[in-house]
Amino acid sequence: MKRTCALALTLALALAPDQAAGGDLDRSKHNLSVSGPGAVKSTSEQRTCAFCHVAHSGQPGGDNRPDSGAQHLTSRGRGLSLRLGTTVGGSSRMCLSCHDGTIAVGKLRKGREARMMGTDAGGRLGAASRSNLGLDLSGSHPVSFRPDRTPKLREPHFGDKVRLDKRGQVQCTSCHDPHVEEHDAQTRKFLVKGNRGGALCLSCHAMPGWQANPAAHGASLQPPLPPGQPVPADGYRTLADAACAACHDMHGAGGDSLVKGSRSDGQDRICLDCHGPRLATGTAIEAWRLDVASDALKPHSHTAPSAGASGHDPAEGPTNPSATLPENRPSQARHHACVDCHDPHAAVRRPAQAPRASGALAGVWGVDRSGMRVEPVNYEYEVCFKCHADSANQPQARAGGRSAGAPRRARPDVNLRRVFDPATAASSHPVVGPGQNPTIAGLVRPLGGASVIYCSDCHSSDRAAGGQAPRGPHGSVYDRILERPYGVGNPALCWKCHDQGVLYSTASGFTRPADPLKQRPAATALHDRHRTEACSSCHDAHGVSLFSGTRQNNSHLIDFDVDVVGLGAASRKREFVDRGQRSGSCNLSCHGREHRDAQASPGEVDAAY
Amino acid sequence: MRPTDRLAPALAAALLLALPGAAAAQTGIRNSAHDFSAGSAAVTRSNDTQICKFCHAPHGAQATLLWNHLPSSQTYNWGGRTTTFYGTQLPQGTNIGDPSKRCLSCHDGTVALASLQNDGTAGHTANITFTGNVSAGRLTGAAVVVSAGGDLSANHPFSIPYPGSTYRSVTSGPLVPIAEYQPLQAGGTCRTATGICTTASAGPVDGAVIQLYPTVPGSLSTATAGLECGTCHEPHNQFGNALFLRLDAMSSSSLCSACHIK
Repeated sequence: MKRTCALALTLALALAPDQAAGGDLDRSKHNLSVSGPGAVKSTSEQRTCAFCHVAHSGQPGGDNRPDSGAQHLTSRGRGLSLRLGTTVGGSSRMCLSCHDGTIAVGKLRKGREARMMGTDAGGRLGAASRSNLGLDLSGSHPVSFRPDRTPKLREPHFGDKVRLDKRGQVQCTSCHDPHVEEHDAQTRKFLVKGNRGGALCLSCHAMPGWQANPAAHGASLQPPLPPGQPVPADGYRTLADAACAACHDMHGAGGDSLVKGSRSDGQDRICLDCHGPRLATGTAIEAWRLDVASDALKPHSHTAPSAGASGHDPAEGPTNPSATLPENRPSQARHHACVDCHDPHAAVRRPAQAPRASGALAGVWGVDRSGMRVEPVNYEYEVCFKCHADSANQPQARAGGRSAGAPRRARPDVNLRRVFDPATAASSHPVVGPGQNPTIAGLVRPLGGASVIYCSDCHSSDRAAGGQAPRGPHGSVYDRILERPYGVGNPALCWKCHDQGVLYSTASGFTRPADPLKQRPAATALHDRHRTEACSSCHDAHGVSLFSGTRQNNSHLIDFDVDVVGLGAASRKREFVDRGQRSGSCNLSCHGREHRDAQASPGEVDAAY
Repeated sequence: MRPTDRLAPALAAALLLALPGAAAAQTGIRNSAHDFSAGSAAVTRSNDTQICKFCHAPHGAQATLLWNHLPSSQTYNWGGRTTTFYGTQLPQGTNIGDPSKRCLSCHDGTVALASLQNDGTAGHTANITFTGNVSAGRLTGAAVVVSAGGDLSANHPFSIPYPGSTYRSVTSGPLVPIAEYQPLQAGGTCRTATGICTTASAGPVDGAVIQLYPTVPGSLSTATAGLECGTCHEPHNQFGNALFLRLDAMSSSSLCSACHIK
């Protein structure tokens, strides 16, 4: 009896059905057979390969998946999308035969349909499943197209696990290996290789600043999600490791350029969610340096709308006909978003020396002093000139475009490139190069006659006056995103650089000794006498270009506000004439007094110095 | 004899029959799909009483394998491809290996099943007719693996070298990831007549392993080994698996795993 029992047992074991081999595929979620470890698996089909492959009578290549004929939406209609096909082709169709949710997972081209569990009622991937991409693939990395070679995009190196298909196209299989789940052990998403630090993305996307610097984002040990959001179990723990995946979703991204979020989010949300008051930076950098969100909420700020598109086009530029920047048509809409001034891939922590651009502006393109496109910018003003120089749609240039109470000049020039470039300026603040008056008195140390300043020295957060705000024109409570008030009787902004004590003394403005022969008194402090007026009555805060005036009549940034300063009664002029150092004359009518540069009558101001 | 002694063999037999898959393993060509004799249980059969003559004949046949079925004159292509995905050259035109040409002489659907070199009569007067999956005497249906125009692309490639090997003057492509295929070994656990097999293909029954072919018959080695139809199929149903396969591919994917490491 014992012998026959042993015999029966041996026979039973010897004739047991063949078990699956236990390789990578068998351990992964793509093992859809009865022995599969995942939630989606068959209750009837024992073969693992048969769900996708068959030896005879499949598609060319042995595919065993039927094609639903589904059409996939590949783009949202801009830029690259113009070159994408109307649907997905190549080997990607086979992946999508399950992953677009149109065909039951168990349906085979050859063989009985496998009964599945873990799918929806029709046997397809559930609509709520993260791996059901649906038919709208516009939020996914594009496939079935041949990529361009650009400075930021290249074909992967020979032998790289990331590769194009044999027609040179990107497909699902460029990044995914459907048989092996664990090449990237952290995310377990069937990637062809590990994606720590964005290694997989960098195989094609050559981000010049990211790898070279290292960029501030690329070296950051911060969590890759906004404060308060826990890092999911299948994600990398730091910004440096998560790299691209911190801000970009490869599938189902709502924002432009595959940025995370929903379709209705504002474009700046991805930046401001982290760069806000709750960001804890540890000791490496003070938290307030990165708190841009607080400024962005102020009444005057440079942020994109909080919902919907910002108008920024990554391909915008001087030669792009549909997204020209600087804009060349007055009717073109203006826009601003974080990425207009910053490249999050290249920004690096590097201190600035005026007028050189700081590390925050690394990698961005701009318009240089000659009006030519330059990439990357060398100077901060080159970023500003993208929109505030040659643009044809600046509101100040339009009738009714000025805000109420703004000074009105005789011949305004909104092209700040012409205003600031010493070659084309009558006089201006030294933003592009040193100013025209090397002997200017009363500058606050360490500024001098040869100094150069930043746009952001005046246009900055109102918190910057107290020294606790990130540099840059992100937002302010003061009009025109000014750092300090610039109003009548209180030009605090000007006192930042121009010593108030000196300005209100005889050391500033004209000088003239008393002339008893002509019965002319000595010239007293010019600015002191006019201290109840706004600086803007006589001076333009940026400067005067040679389009608006002349070096003779508009030195010292003098450009009269025609709403304040009137024409002289006798001379019919509203004019300043520069007669050399600390010498000049005015012909105008202001504050009820006639100013004449010759033979003033009683009651008139002898305005020749 | 005690009562339990009589019981034991019956118990063993019952166990044998109860195990899934164990009882259905009928082997041998009789009543398989290649049994074209008149009394066969196959769907496609003829009115002739013999089994072997449709492929073999003792006299008047070809030298190799005493092959008796007339060949096809079809030229084959792979849907426009000249290489496999990893760059192994695919055989074009009539350059298919002889072992597979023998199978294709029926399975490409262009030659009548009854086209024999020696049909057993003096002047080809045997009037052999077929019923079943035939049309105008030629095979039709799922067993025809060639699409219109000689297109073989819907099939696993064959007449190609095993990865890392050379076969019929073709070496496997430069991009073939050798590490993703079971290495070939000589001896060891191989239970084939040739002693060459993949390291994973030791089947439960002697000789059940996949069969590789040498460029020159009789000179099989790990350096020269290729795939033909007979690599996966055994046309006499020696092993009793569905579709004449050497390894059961209906209950697991072990046939695929014999070569592919996934």
